[in-house]
Amino acid sequence: MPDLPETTVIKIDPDSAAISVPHILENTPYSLSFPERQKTLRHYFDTFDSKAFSSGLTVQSEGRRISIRESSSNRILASDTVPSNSACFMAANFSPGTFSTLISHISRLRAFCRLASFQVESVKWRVLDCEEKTIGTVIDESISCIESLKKGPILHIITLNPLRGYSQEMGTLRKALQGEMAESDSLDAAGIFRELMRHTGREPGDYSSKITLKLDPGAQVHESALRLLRFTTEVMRHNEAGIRKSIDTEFLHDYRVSLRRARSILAQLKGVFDPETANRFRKELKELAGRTGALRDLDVYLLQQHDFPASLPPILRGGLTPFFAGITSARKKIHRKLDRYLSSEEYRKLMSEWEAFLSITQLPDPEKAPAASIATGKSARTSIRKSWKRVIRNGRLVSRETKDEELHELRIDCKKLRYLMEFFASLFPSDRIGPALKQLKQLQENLGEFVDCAVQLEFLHEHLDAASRNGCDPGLAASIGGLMTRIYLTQEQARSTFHASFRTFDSDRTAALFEELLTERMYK
Amino acid sequence: MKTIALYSIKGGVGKTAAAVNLSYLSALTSPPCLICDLDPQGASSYYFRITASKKFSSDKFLKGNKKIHSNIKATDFENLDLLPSDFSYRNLDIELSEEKKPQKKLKKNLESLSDDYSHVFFDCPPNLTLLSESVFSASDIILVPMIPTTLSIRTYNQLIDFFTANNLDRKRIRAFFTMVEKRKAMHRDIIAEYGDAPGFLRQTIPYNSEVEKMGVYRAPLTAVKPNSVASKAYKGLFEELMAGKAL
Repeated sequence: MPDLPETTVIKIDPDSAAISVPHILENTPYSLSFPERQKTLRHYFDTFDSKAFSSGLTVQSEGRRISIRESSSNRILASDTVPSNSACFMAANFSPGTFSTLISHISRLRAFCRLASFQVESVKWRVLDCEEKTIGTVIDESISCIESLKKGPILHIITLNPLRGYSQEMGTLRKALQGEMAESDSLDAAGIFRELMRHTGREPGDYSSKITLKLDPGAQVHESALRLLRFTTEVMRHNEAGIRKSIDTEFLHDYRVSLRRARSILAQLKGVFDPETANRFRKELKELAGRTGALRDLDVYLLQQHDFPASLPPILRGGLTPFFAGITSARKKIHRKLDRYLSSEEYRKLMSEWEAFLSITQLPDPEKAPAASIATGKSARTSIRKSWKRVIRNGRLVSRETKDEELHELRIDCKKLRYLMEFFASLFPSDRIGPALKQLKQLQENLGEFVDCAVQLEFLHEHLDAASRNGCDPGLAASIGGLMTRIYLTQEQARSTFHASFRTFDSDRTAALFEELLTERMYK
Repeated sequence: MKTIALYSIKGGVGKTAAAVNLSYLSALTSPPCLICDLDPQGASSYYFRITASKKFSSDKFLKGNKKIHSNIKATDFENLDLLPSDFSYRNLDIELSEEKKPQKKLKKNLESLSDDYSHVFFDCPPNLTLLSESVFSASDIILVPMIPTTLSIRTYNQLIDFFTANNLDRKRIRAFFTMVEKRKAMHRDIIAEYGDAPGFLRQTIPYNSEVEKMGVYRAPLTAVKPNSVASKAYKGLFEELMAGKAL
């Protein structure tokens, strides 16, 4: 229902003398119902990257009920029963309904983990007018941290919720309450959430795998590159625990993207680092990427656990059950291996050497790294131009038959360009870099689809081969055959549209976008 | 949004009781629900302890959308809102007659609510006037409560004739018997004769003093005494309405 009246939250100093809501309301024409007292545990949930918070929502549970609320009003949008694993769950853990729709809308891929727990002591009254009609509710809550109950409440709030059509009447009440409390402070529900999180040492929305660094165009590129590398390394570090606990697949994904970004900086910013050291780390980081690749591949299949069968005729769907069961058990094994590696001395040593390298701010020997002292802005423009030209050059070389290898290579060229543009995005005005990136993304989508299909076909082929050696079940073979046909069709579709999507990228319009971006004087 | 009008030419047949109880049941099973009190006596508003704001009047009601929106009030029951009536509604007919297309007015005025509510119940005043005509064209179902007496059957037939004469779809009319007293032979005979006629609902509402006590509870009987005989009958009636695929 729209036009809901505003909720008012009044914050009171928890150390101040006891406040009696009934006493304050004595001088208004309204009365209070019998109070309902409650003492509950409240848990807040969100994804690692605070998806709910950034969508303006809070996910919280009290007792067996879990609810999604609008942060600004604290209004419940949907609720459901807490899933069996109450510390961490996925959108898929809920049966279909409003709650499940809303939570999948926040994130389908990420797990919702418990952020913090509080003990809430509350007293709730209904506010009645002279006809004994409810016009709203008043809730007086004292909130304490579960870890430090002895310290007493960290937050004391009074919430006024007018019923629809009674904002004016409740306004009288609000004034009476605010007038009585000299040190009161009005907050919205989102502010309360933020404050509660702060008490537990968290800042909602403090993690993002996106590059948010603001680079200085005049700084030496060596310094900027180090900052970028430190940033990507930090993202990797943030994700290690989530990978090891196997909370959701995005931890590994973000880790790998950051790792690729780091490798890409080392490879593309030539002459910025001592080549010997840079090459050594490139090799080591490539190896690290290799160690994580197999797990990601399996994750990709498991994410398709619902879509794959749905794309097949019903008679073939059952055949995929053993396929996914096999992948699940293979994933377990591979995950254990990666988990062991991430806790190994070898990994610890690699990362500490890498981090030590990133902490040396001194410029490398100019003979070995002649480009290190170039201004970041200039270096950005030359490297992006070079990479862009390479995409254009190689794209034009793709034959009419659009061979697999040609598209594979072009995809890598595009990725390199994309990473460079993302690294240096902060140097350019967003209304200039945005459209250029958009053109690139469209081309990447086409190539990405093609290559993903190719990889999947190869994987399925190998799976089929291995299965046939062990006396393959015909149901499984038929299902995989069906799946391969569908993937092949998608791949051919992507192949057939490649030239059209490349033409859009290799157009005068896109060229003008890039030229304007790259030739203009330094942006301020 | 489905609209249901509780309508009868006769007064005192239990329109308001049915509107209040059915809307509460609807708010429970297919929320959210709105009840529009169109009767200047304001009985359903009274049952929910709601009075219209001082500024609200029949001309605001006729202005429609925005004015209606801001005057809707929440009842004490979740997902059940009410648009209260005002004493000025006694002039609604005269005011309607000055409008361009009075028969379509109500329908037009409620258009903006269609995304907000799954069901809207009209509690209509007892008469057959321009307002009633406006209600007829705005309602998916015209639900007619009837005390099983010959006079009721006569007014029911008058309604059917009116629909036929005005080219209205009489299939939208559903009648049901209220205030049924089994010990009365006439009640028994009339129910036997019309109980399974087309357009009549099977469920009847018995005469029950609990229904009259709603004036004391000032809440739907289905909420306060869900297990009373009358509450169960309203529940049966509501289920029959929903099952009839009409809603």
